[in-house]
Amino acid sequence: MPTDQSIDQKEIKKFEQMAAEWWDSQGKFKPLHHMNPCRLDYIIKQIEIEFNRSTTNQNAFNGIDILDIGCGGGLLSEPMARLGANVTGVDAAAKNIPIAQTHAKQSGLDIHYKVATAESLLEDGKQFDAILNMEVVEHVRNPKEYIKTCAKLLKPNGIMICSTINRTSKSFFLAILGAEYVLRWLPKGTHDWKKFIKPDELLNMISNAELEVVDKRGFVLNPIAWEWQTSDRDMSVNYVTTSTKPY
Amino acid sequence: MYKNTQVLIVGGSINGVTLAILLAQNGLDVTIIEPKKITSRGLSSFDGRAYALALTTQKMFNALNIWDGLKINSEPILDIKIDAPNDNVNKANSLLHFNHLEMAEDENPMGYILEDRHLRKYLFSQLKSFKNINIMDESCITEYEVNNGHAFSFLSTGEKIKSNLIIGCDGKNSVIANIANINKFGWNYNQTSLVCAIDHEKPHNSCAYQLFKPSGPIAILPLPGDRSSIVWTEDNKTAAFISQLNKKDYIKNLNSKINLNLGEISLSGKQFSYPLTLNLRENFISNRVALVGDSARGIHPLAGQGLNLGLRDVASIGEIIITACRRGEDIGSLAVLKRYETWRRFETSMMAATTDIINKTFSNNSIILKPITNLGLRVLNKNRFLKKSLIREAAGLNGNIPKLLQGKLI
Repeated sequence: MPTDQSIDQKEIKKFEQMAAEWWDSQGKFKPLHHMNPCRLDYIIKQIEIEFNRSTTNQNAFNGIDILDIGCGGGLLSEPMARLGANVTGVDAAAKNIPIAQTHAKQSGLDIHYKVATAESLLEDGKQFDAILNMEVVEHVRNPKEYIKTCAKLLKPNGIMICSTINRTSKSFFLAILGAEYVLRWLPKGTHDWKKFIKPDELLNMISNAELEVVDKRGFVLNPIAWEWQTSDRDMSVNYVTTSTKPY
Repeated sequence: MYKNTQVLIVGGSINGVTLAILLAQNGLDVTIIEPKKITSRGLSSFDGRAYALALTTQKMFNALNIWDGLKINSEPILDIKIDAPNDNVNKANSLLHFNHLEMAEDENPMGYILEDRHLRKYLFSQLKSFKNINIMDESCITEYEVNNGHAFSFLSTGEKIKSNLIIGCDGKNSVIANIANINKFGWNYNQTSLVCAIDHEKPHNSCAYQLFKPSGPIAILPLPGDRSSIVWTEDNKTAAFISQLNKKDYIKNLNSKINLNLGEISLSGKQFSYPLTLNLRENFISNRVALVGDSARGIHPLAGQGLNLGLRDVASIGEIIITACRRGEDIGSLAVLKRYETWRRFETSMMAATTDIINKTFSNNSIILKPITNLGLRVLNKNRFLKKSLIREAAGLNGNIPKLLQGKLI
């Protein structure tokens, strides 16, 4: 018994350390933390519009079922939970789940995390009001089928927010320069430029899945303010779309 | 058992109470801890001690819905006259004259003068209307530790508080800044401010005066009626001498310095004195702690910017916390607190350095420097553009302004 426990303790310590690393805004994941407010502002705005809520009220997202695909350490899941949503966070990388669970527990947040893919979730039969599909689509084998699967996970009138990276000469140079900063936070070599998706291609996949695109814009890093901002025009590297499932 | 609160404010000061009201109005749960009785801090016997409220500060009080209650006791500043170091102040024209009509966009006054006692009384009276402000007075923070995304504070009364964030509003000897190990540095000016209020025979016509004397600046700030508040700076030795004079000699001494065509003057209330120091904290933030106002830095009160700067901190941290809260972020996280530090740090150092340099430049008898400063002021007075930007700076209208200071809600 004591031996088992000490192994548990060691495991817990390890996950606590990894969670601390994920959540250290000045550490390894600094670029992600830097971008997070901009992503959150966009996501929150879209959910506010679709479900007629206002975050000036406490627990604004009460009763909204949110699925965060590729949740990582929970950088989007936790804010959504704090706003009152019922959050399910999934990641195909098994090691991320205990990290996210550890941190949520420390933050006193109730989030349902599990190792899963969109496909495996379909078998559970649960549907969601909102799906956060942030920088996942460029990593999956068959993006077209993947978006279709996501659409099936959505309740009627549900909303999917999907961001990815454009396949342009600009993103190519950023990729070969190893500017993972702009492309996101993943370790070098994670991104394969050929798998990047042009906005038209993504919009096609979305309408193919019988969702309706209601908004699209770019995420750009303002080099002077050193802040991420959304842009109506510049979708040349990072961009995001919002689509709804017709009733 | 720990008492739960979102934001723990250390210090029932003007900054602390204003911040509590701002956060509470936006739905946050706030606790104020204060060593003295909170009702006693809401009262002030400092008859005559007054603040020059920048226009932005007035806009902030307006947005917080408390300006109407403060307005009745405030005197608008319609003119500011600045005089250079010269023994002869009887000249008809001041070297620098600002009129509120030069302020471009509107015809608002350049600011307001409001006595400390009126500000405190009204501000503190607002506290009771908020259910989400919890007051724990007659208690001090003795220790805090950070664990699992929260700050756990221990009070002298034995009570314990769990919060997301602690904000220090407890002045230049901030206890929380010390506990959080944020180092203090600064220097002494070897100057003392003498503060009093005067009654005068003739009206002040809503004009504020700043006279630069070799010994230090004198500010004459218009109060409602035929009264003015005096902030009069002398070197420590002279100040000590003047402080112990009887009322008659005190006034005689003052009169010899100002001579402003106000007619017969007499003391209205008591005299006070404050030694001048400049102190800065090494950081504005620490682990789940942010410092506001004098707890972060006390500047030379030359341009009356202490209160305004402190309330600018309040508006900034308030905006950052409220925005983070609506974004579902952890309001006490380093990522959030860094935004506050970045926003405030630059402006604060600029302001502290500028007032320090102005004071050092004017407080001298150097035969070389004096003609230069006089010439500088004359040139400045002729240049409308420079004047406008200077007055906008003093009015707090320059820089990246928090929403509240623009009179907007967050």
